[in-house]
Amino acid sequence: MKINQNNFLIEVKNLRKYFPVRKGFFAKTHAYVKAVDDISFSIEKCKTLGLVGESGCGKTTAGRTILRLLEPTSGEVIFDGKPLFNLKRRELKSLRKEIQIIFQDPYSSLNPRMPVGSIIEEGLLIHRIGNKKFRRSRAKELLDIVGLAPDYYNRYPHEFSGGQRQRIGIARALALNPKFIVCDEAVSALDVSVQAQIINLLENLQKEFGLAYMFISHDLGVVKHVSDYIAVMYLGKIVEYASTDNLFSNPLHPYTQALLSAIPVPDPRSGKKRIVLKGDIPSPVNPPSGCYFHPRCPQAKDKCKTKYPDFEKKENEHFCSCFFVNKQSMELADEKN
Amino acid sequence: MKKFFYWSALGLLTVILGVCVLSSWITPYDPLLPDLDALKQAPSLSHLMGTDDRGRDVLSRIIAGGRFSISLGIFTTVFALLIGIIFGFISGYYCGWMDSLAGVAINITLAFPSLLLAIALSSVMEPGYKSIFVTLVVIGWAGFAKLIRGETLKLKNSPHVQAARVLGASDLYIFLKHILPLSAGIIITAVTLRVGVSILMESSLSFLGLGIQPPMPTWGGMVSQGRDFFRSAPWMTMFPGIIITLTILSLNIAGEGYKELSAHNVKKYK
Repeated sequence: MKINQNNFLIEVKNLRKYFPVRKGFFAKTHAYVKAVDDISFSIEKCKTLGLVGESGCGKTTAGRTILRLLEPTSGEVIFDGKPLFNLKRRELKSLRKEIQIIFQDPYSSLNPRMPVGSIIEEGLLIHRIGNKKFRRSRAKELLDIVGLAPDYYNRYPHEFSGGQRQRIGIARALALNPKFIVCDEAVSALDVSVQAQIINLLENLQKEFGLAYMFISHDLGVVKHVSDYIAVMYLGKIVEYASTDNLFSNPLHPYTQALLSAIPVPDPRSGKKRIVLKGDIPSPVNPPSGCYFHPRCPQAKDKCKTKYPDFEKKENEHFCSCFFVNKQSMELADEKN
Repeated sequence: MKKFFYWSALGLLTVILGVCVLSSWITPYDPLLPDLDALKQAPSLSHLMGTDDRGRDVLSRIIAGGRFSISLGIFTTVFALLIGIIFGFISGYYCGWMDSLAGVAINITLAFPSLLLAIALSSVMEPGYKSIFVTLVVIGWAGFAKLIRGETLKLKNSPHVQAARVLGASDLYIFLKHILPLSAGIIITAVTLRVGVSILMESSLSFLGLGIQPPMPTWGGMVSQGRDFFRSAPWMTMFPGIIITLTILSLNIAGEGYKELSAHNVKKYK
């Protein structure tokens, strides 16, 4: 994908992550789960990329691979001009400061035996930044930044609610002044009202510290609200990429159209047509031939069964992998007229 | 009621441990010195647990023997735990060929009948404190390794461990700060149970004559010695036997009780 070579904080090129499926006595690899299959995208400074898709489509794996929590099968990630996958141990450790993660589950993401202060200070301690006093004051400052009382320093995670715990997780991620944060379903486990608070907090932090986010979610409403760009994933591949406005006003890929039609509209008389997809998401071990989406696609033709469509530019800053996009959008335009 | 048992088991253990630590000062008679005027005397006020076939005070010998039995139980368990922690963590955390290798070693040790292994090992070495020590460590480490491997496997993918990795934490840091503290409850329980097993095993080996050699008293050795006089002087076997049973029982109750209490605490944490 060539959009614009400047200003990118992070560029992901042809990233693949295959998990071997082992079977038998000698644990021979007889197949691969193609969790992330050749995806490319880039994120500018201070911008948010939303990554959406059904569960099991590889969004989380993509995030974890970029963070090097999982070793990639192939591909390249360039962060701030540095290739992330070729770094030596020490270089990687120092680059860890710049990339952080916020987890989905606010309960299991905090060590129950560590007081809040220690959890937030952990990064500073690992990188040996400052003395005890400095770390303490920094932790209290961070508690204040994420909207918690600095007095909570000595308390334990079980004393807090889900939203508060998520704020602690955010404070931990912020401690090392990162430039890029992966939000892995960061608000999915929270109540709607708390979701809004956390999203506002994340947006304020973005403005204040110039953060870039990769926002992984299955909740299109949330993603629409926070993202500048959106990538739609299906079965390990990105099928559509566009700016948020563009994607929501003019979805090109049939899968995206189906997803968008599933967003509930708070108006019983809207008369919106819902595109209901047939069947289940296919197994990533053995994806369908040709276009991965063709068995469920309402517009599939013979061509789709044999060849995977290229991921190409269809409109200005709008990428999509479907053979019949131009035709469809023309039809849509006709209908509108 | 459960709590009552737990606390009385802990109390009894403390008493036994205290008595053993102070053994050289509080034994009423010399545990090694025969007294030909008092052979096989039944329990009385001057000899609370009677005397053995050489006139030695059984109570004094139990107290002196406890020093060996209990110190062996504790030290071998600590050693076995250390080895088990290293193997278990490496095997659980890194997976791959190291896991297979450690897994084979663990399973072979666990699959071997431990008493047989103990007999084989202690007959190769010269019987004594050292041989028993080595034997008990060799038998004991695999259980701990398996336990810690499981805990490591369970915890290594939990989000707080992943968060630490993203922060740049080393594997050792993750183990010491995130995996060990969260498995402490289950490890402590396993340790108390293992101390019991070790004491029992030491008694069995001493009973078979492969342990610490007479005239040094050990609990198992005393049972073995008294066996020949069971009809005429049952107290010679009975009292060491009772003490072994009580110690193991209290260790087990204390271990189980701790497990339940810590499970309760974990619930509170969640």
